[in-house]
Amino acid sequence: MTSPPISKKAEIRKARTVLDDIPVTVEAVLGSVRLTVAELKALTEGDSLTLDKALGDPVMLRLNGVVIASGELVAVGENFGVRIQTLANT
Amino acid sequence: MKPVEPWLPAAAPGAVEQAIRKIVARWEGQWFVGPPAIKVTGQAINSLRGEAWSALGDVFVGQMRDTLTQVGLKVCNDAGQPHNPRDSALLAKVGRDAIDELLGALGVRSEPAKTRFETISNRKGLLGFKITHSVESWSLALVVGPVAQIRIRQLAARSEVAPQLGSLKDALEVEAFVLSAFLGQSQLSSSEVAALGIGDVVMFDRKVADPAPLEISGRVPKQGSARVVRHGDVLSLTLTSEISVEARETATQ
Repeated sequence: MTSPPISKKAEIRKARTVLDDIPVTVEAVLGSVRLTVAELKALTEGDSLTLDKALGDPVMLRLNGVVIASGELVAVGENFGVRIQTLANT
Repeated sequence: MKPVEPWLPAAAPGAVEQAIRKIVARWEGQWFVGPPAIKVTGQAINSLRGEAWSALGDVFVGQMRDTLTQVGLKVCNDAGQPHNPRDSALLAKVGRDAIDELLGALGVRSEPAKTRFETISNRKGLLGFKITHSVESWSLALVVGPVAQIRIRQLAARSEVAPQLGSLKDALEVEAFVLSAFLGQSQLSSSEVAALGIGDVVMFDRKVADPAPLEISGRVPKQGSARVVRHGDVLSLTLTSEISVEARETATQ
Protein backbone atom coordinates (compact mmCIF):
# COMPACT_ATOMS: atom_id res chain seq x y z
CA MET A 1 0.00 0.00 0.00
CA THR A 2 1.42 3.34 -1.01
CA SER A 3 1.16 6.44 1.15
CA PRO A 4 -0.85 9.36 -0.23
CA PRO A 5 1.05 12.10 -2.03
CA ILE A 6 2.16 15.17 -0.10
CA SER A 7 -0.71 17.34 -1.37
CA LYS A 8 -3.25 14.68 -0.30
CA LYS A 9 -1.74 14.52 3.21
CA ALA A 10 -2.06 18.25 3.51
CA GLU A 11 -5.73 18.05 2.57
CA ILE A 12 -6.35 15.35 5.19
CA ARG A 13 -4.55 17.42 7.85
CA LYS A 14 -6.64 20.44 6.90
CA ALA A 15 -9.84 18.35 7.07
CA ARG A 16 -8.90 17.08 10.52
CA THR A 17 -8.36 20.60 11.73
CA VAL A 18 -11.75 21.63 10.40
CA LEU A 19 -13.44 18.63 12.01
CA ASP A 20 -11.72 19.37 15.32
CA ASP A 21 -13.28 22.81 15.36
CA ILE A 22 -16.85 21.75 14.76
CA PRO A 23 -18.92 23.19 17.57
CA VAL A 24 -21.09 20.68 19.38
CA THR A 25 -23.61 21.10 22.15
CA VAL A 26 -23.38 18.93 25.21
CA GLU A 27 -26.40 18.91 27.48
CA ALA A 28 -26.88 17.50 30.93
CA VAL A 29 -30.05 15.78 32.06
CA LEU A 30 -30.73 16.38 35.70
CA GLY A 31 -33.56 13.89 35.98
CA SER A 32 -36.89 12.88 34.57
CA VAL A 33 -40.41 12.07 35.65
CA ARG A 34 -42.89 9.84 33.85
CA LEU A 35 -46.33 11.27 33.33
CA THR A 36 -49.68 10.05 32.10
CA VAL A 37 -51.65 11.98 29.51
CA ALA A 38 -54.01 13.15 32.21
CA GLU A 39 -51.17 14.31 34.47
CA LEU A 40 -49.43 16.16 31.65
CA LYS A 41 -52.62 17.97 30.67
CA ALA A 42 -53.36 18.88 34.28
CA LEU A 43 -49.96 20.43 35.08
CA THR A 44 -50.15 24.01 36.28
CA GLU A 45 -47.70 26.56 37.56
CA GLY A 46 -46.60 25.73 41.09
CA ASP A 47 -47.04 21.97 40.71
CA SER A 48 -44.23 19.86 42.15
CA LEU A 49 -42.88 16.71 40.51
CA THR A 50 -40.36 14.37 42.10
CA LEU A 51 -37.47 13.49 39.78
CA ASP A 52 -36.14 9.99 39.37
CA LYS A 53 -32.68 11.10 40.43
CA ALA A 54 -31.48 11.89 43.94
CA LEU A 55 -28.97 14.58 44.78
CA GLY A 56 -25.93 12.29 44.78
CA ASP A 57 -26.87 10.37 41.64
CA PRO A 58 -24.70 10.82 38.55
CA VAL A 59 -25.85 13.35 35.96
CA MET A 60 -25.84 12.19 32.33
CA LEU A 61 -24.07 14.22 29.65
CA ARG A 62 -25.64 13.87 26.21
CA LEU A 63 -24.34 14.71 22.77
CA ASN A 64 -26.91 14.49 20.00
CA GLY A 65 -29.16 12.52 22.34
CA VAL A 66 -26.45 9.95 23.11
CA VAL A 67 -25.07 9.66 26.64
CA ILE A 68 -21.31 10.19 26.37
CA ALA A 69 -20.41 10.58 30.04
CA SER A 70 -21.77 10.84 33.55
CA GLY A 71 -20.57 12.65 36.57
CA GLU A 72 -21.35 14.51 39.73
CA LEU A 73 -23.13 17.81 39.91
CA VAL A 74 -20.95 20.71 41.04
CA ALA A 75 -21.47 24.42 41.35
CA VAL A 76 -18.65 26.65 40.20
CA GLY A 77 -19.39 30.25 40.98
CA GLU A 78 -22.91 30.97 39.79
CA ASN A 79 -23.05 28.17 37.27
CA PHE A 80 -23.64 24.47 37.35
CA GLY A 81 -21.08 22.02 36.13
CA VAL A 82 -20.56 18.28 35.97
CA ARG A 83 -17.34 16.62 37.06
CA ILE A 84 -16.89 13.58 34.84
CA GLN A 85 -16.71 10.22 36.62
CA THR A 86 -17.34 7.79 33.78
CA LEU A 87 -16.85 8.09 30.04
CA ALA A 88 -18.58 6.12 27.36
CA ASN A 89 -16.43 3.86 25.18
CA THR A 90 -15.28 5.57 22.01
CA MET B 1 -94.86 -30.96 31.83
CA LYS B 2 -92.17 -30.66 34.42
CA PRO B 3 -92.51 -27.38 36.32
CA VAL B 4 -89.79 -24.91 35.64
CA GLU B 5 -87.87 -24.03 38.71
CA PRO B 6 -86.83 -20.44 39.16
CA TRP B 7 -83.37 -19.92 37.75
CA LEU B 8 -82.47 -17.16 40.09
CA PRO B 9 -81.53 -18.01 43.63
CA ALA B 10 -84.49 -16.99 45.76
CA ALA B 11 -82.33 -15.17 48.26
CA ALA B 12 -81.51 -12.10 46.21
CA PRO B 13 -83.02 -12.18 42.73
CA GLY B 14 -82.85 -8.42 42.33
CA ALA B 15 -79.17 -8.27 43.08
CA VAL B 16 -78.42 -11.18 40.81
CA GLU B 17 -80.39 -9.78 37.91
CA GLN B 18 -78.65 -6.47 38.39
CA ALA B 19 -75.30 -8.25 38.30
CA ILE B 20 -76.28 -10.07 35.12
CA ARG B 21 -77.44 -6.88 33.46
CA LYS B 22 -74.13 -5.26 34.31
CA ILE B 23 -72.19 -8.18 32.87
CA VAL B 24 -74.30 -8.28 29.74
CA ALA B 25 -73.84 -4.56 29.24
CA ARG B 26 -70.10 -5.07 29.37
CA TRP B 27 -70.25 -7.97 26.92
CA GLU B 28 -72.21 -5.82 24.56
CA GLY B 29 -69.52 -3.17 24.78
CA GLN B 30 -66.90 -5.72 23.80
CA TRP B 31 -68.74 -8.08 21.57
CA PHE B 32 -72.16 -7.17 20.49
CA VAL B 33 -73.41 -4.55 18.12
CA GLY B 34 -77.03 -4.33 17.22
CA PRO B 35 -80.39 -2.97 18.19
CA PRO B 36 -81.35 -3.48 21.80
CA ALA B 37 -84.55 -5.29 20.86
CA ILE B 38 -84.38 -8.25 18.55
CA LYS B 39 -86.94 -10.38 16.83
CA VAL B 40 -86.43 -13.86 18.12
CA THR B 41 -86.73 -16.29 15.28
CA GLY B 42 -85.91 -19.86 14.58
CA GLN B 43 -86.80 -23.06 16.26
CA ALA B 44 -83.59 -23.11 18.21
CA ILE B 45 -84.35 -20.00 20.17
CA ASN B 46 -88.11 -20.55 20.24
CA SER B 47 -87.52 -23.90 21.86
CA LEU B 48 -85.76 -22.14 24.69
CA ARG B 49 -88.38 -19.50 25.22
CA GLY B 50 -90.35 -19.94 28.35
CA GLU B 51 -91.56 -18.38 31.49
CA ALA B 52 -88.16 -18.66 33.13
CA TRP B 53 -86.35 -16.80 30.34
CA SER B 54 -85.80 -13.11 30.12
CA ALA B 55 -84.23 -11.07 27.37
CA LEU B 56 -81.50 -8.60 28.21
CA GLY B 57 -80.81 -6.90 24.94
CA ASP B 58 -79.61 -9.58 22.59
CA VAL B 59 -78.83 -12.04 25.30
CA PHE B 60 -81.35 -14.35 26.89
CA VAL B 61 -80.91 -15.58 30.39
CA GLY B 62 -82.83 -18.54 31.58
CA GLN B 63 -82.95 -22.10 32.71
CA MET B 64 -82.04 -25.22 30.84
CA ARG B 65 -85.02 -27.44 31.57
CA ASP B 66 -83.13 -30.63 31.14
CA THR B 67 -80.04 -29.62 33.00
CA LEU B 68 -81.14 -28.77 36.48
CA THR B 69 -77.70 -29.39 37.87
CA GLN B 70 -75.84 -27.55 35.16
CA VAL B 71 -74.85 -24.06 34.42
CA GLY B 72 -74.84 -23.74 30.69
CA LEU B 73 -74.15 -21.18 28.05
CA LYS B 74 -75.18 -21.60 24.45
CA VAL B 75 -74.41 -19.38 21.58
CA CYS B 76 -76.93 -20.21 18.90
CA ASN B 77 -76.06 -19.79 15.29
CA ASP B 78 -78.52 -21.09 12.73
CA ALA B 79 -76.06 -20.75 9.87
CA GLY B 80 -72.91 -21.40 11.85
CA GLN B 81 -70.22 -23.98 11.51
CA PRO B 82 -70.42 -26.02 14.69
CA HIS B 83 -67.11 -27.71 14.13
CA ASN B 84 -65.14 -24.74 12.91
CA PRO B 85 -62.22 -24.58 15.35
CA ARG B 86 -61.87 -20.83 14.94
CA ASP B 87 -65.52 -20.20 15.82
CA SER B 88 -65.34 -22.66 18.67
CA ALA B 89 -62.25 -21.01 20.09
CA LEU B 90 -63.88 -17.61 19.90
CA LEU B 91 -67.03 -18.86 21.54
CA ALA B 92 -65.01 -20.65 24.16
CA LYS B 93 -63.47 -17.37 25.18
CA VAL B 94 -66.86 -15.70 25.43
CA GLY B 95 -68.19 -18.61 27.37
CA ARG B 96 -65.38 -18.96 29.82
CA ASP B 97 -65.20 -15.28 30.64
CA ALA B 98 -68.95 -14.95 30.86
CA ILE B 99 -69.62 -17.90 33.03
CA ASP B 100 -66.73 -17.15 35.35
CA GLU B 101 -67.96 -13.62 35.82
CA LEU B 102 -71.52 -14.73 36.28
CA LEU B 103 -70.62 -17.40 38.79
CA GLY B 104 -68.58 -14.82 40.65
CA ALA B 105 -71.54 -12.46 40.76
CA LEU B 106 -73.73 -15.25 42.04
CA GLY B 107 -71.25 -16.06 44.76
CA VAL B 108 -70.23 -19.41 43.32
CA ARG B 109 -66.57 -20.16 43.02
CA SER B 110 -65.69 -21.55 39.63
CA GLU B 111 -63.49 -24.54 40.15
CA PRO B 112 -61.78 -25.81 37.02
CA ALA B 113 -62.08 -29.39 38.21
CA LYS B 114 -65.86 -29.07 38.44
CA THR B 115 -66.33 -27.07 35.27
CA ARG B 116 -66.43 -28.70 31.85
CA PHE B 117 -66.49 -26.86 28.57
CA GLU B 118 -67.67 -28.43 25.32
CA THR B 119 -68.95 -27.25 22.01
CA ILE B 120 -72.41 -28.45 21.10
CA SER B 121 -74.52 -28.74 18.01
CA ASN B 122 -77.72 -30.46 17.03
CA ARG B 123 -79.88 -31.08 14.02
CA LYS B 124 -81.31 -27.59 14.20
CA GLY B 125 -77.90 -26.17 13.47
CA LEU B 126 -77.04 -24.91 16.90
CA LEU B 127 -73.53 -23.73 17.21
CA GLY B 128 -73.08 -23.71 20.90
CA PHE B 129 -70.90 -23.87 23.82
CA LYS B 130 -71.93 -25.53 27.03
CA ILE B 131 -70.38 -25.19 30.41
CA THR B 132 -71.23 -27.81 32.95
CA HIS B 133 -70.71 -26.87 36.50
CA SER B 134 -72.18 -28.52 39.53
CA VAL B 135 -74.05 -25.93 41.50
CA GLU B 136 -76.42 -26.87 44.32
CA SER B 137 -79.92 -27.21 42.95
CA TRP B 138 -80.35 -24.50 40.37
CA SER B 139 -79.24 -24.01 36.84
CA LEU B 140 -78.65 -21.21 34.43
CA ALA B 141 -78.21 -20.81 30.72
CA LEU B 142 -77.47 -17.95 28.40
CA VAL B 143 -78.39 -17.76 24.74
CA VAL B 144 -77.06 -15.09 22.45
CA GLY B 145 -79.52 -13.87 19.84
CA PRO B 146 -79.13 -13.53 16.08
CA VAL B 147 -77.71 -10.00 16.01
CA ALA B 148 -74.95 -11.01 18.35
CA GLN B 149 -74.36 -14.17 16.35
CA ILE B 150 -73.74 -12.12 13.24
CA ARG B 151 -71.36 -9.90 15.13
CA ILE B 152 -69.50 -12.87 16.53
CA ARG B 153 -69.20 -14.39 13.07
CA GLN B 154 -67.81 -11.10 11.78
CA LEU B 155 -65.28 -11.01 14.55
CA ALA B 156 -64.36 -14.64 13.99
CA ALA B 157 -63.86 -14.00 10.28
CA ARG B 158 -61.69 -10.98 10.93
CA SER B 159 -59.41 -12.33 13.58
CA GLU B 160 -58.88 -15.36 15.72
CA VAL B 161 -58.17 -13.12 18.64
CA ALA B 162 -61.16 -11.19 19.85
CA PRO B 163 -60.53 -7.50 20.34
CA GLN B 164 -60.67 -6.32 23.90
CA LEU B 165 -61.81 -2.79 24.42
CA GLY B 166 -60.01 -0.80 27.04
CA SER B 167 -61.46 2.13 28.85
CA LEU B 168 -60.59 5.76 28.26
CA LYS B 169 -59.60 5.97 31.91
CA ASP B 170 -57.07 3.15 31.46
CA ALA B 171 -55.67 4.80 28.36
CA LEU B 172 -55.17 8.07 30.17
CA GLU B 173 -53.44 6.32 33.05
CA VAL B 174 -50.67 4.88 30.92
CA GLU B 175 -47.40 6.62 31.67
CA ALA B 176 -46.66 7.73 28.16
CA PHE B 177 -44.55 10.86 28.56
CA VAL B 178 -41.19 11.65 30.05
CA LEU B 179 -40.68 15.14 31.36
CA SER B 180 -36.96 15.81 31.68
CA ALA B 181 -35.19 18.68 33.36
CA PHE B 182 -31.84 19.91 32.08
CA LEU B 183 -28.94 21.55 33.77
CA GLY B 184 -28.34 23.49 30.61
CA GLN B 185 -26.07 23.34 27.60
CA SER B 186 -22.37 23.61 27.04
CA GLN B 187 -20.82 24.61 23.72
CA LEU B 188 -17.64 22.66 23.06
CA SER B 189 -15.65 21.80 19.99
CA SER B 190 -15.50 18.23 18.78
CA SER B 191 -11.83 18.04 19.76
CA GLU B 192 -12.65 19.19 23.30
CA VAL B 193 -15.31 16.50 23.58
CA ALA B 194 -12.87 13.90 22.30
CA ALA B 195 -10.31 15.01 24.89
CA LEU B 196 -12.67 14.81 27.88
CA GLY B 197 -11.26 12.75 30.71
CA ILE B 198 -12.18 11.59 34.19
CA GLY B 199 -12.17 14.48 36.62
CA ASP B 200 -12.77 17.16 33.98
CA VAL B 201 -15.53 19.61 34.76
CA VAL B 202 -17.95 20.61 32.01
CA MET B 203 -19.52 23.97 32.78
CA PHE B 204 -23.06 24.79 31.73
CA ASP B 205 -24.67 28.02 30.68
CA ARG B 206 -27.40 27.95 33.29
CA LYS B 207 -26.91 29.72 36.55
CA VAL B 208 -27.81 28.03 39.80
CA ALA B 209 -30.71 30.41 40.33
CA ASP B 210 -32.13 30.03 36.79
CA PRO B 211 -35.13 27.84 36.08
CA ALA B 212 -34.34 24.49 34.47
CA PRO B 213 -35.20 23.99 30.81
CA LEU B 214 -37.68 21.20 30.15
CA GLU B 215 -38.16 18.55 27.53
CA ILE B 216 -41.26 16.42 26.98
CA SER B 217 -40.51 13.07 25.38
CA GLY B 218 -37.64 14.52 23.38
CA ARG B 219 -39.34 17.78 22.41
CA VAL B 220 -38.56 21.16 23.88
CA PRO B 221 -41.72 23.09 24.71
CA LYS B 222 -41.79 26.71 23.58
CA GLN B 223 -42.99 27.71 26.99
CA GLY B 224 -42.54 26.05 30.37
CA SER B 225 -39.81 25.99 32.95
CA ALA B 226 -39.26 24.66 36.43
CA ARG B 227 -37.10 25.30 39.42
CA VAL B 228 -35.19 22.41 40.92
CA VAL B 229 -35.98 22.03 44.59
CA ARG B 230 -34.06 19.88 47.02
CA HIS B 231 -35.74 18.05 49.89
CA GLY B 232 -32.91 16.21 51.60
CA ASP B 233 -31.48 13.96 48.90
CA VAL B 234 -34.66 14.05 46.84
CA LEU B 235 -34.78 16.40 43.88
CA SER B 236 -38.07 17.69 42.59
CA LEU B 237 -39.29 20.21 40.06
CA THR B 238 -41.64 23.05 40.81
CA LEU B 239 -43.19 24.51 37.69
CA THR B 240 -42.42 28.23 37.49
CA SER B 241 -44.32 28.77 34.28
CA GLU B 242 -47.04 26.71 32.73
CA ILE B 243 -46.13 24.40 29.87
CA SER B 244 -47.61 25.74 26.65
CA VAL B 245 -50.83 24.21 25.44
CA GLU B 246 -49.18 23.71 22.07
CA ALA B 247 -46.40 21.61 23.62
CA ARG B 248 -48.92 19.44 25.46
CA GLU B 249 -51.00 18.96 22.35
CA THR B 250 -47.92 18.05 20.33
CA ALA B 251 -46.75 15.60 22.97
CA THR B 252 -50.10 13.88 23.22
CA GLN B 253 -50.60 13.53 19.47
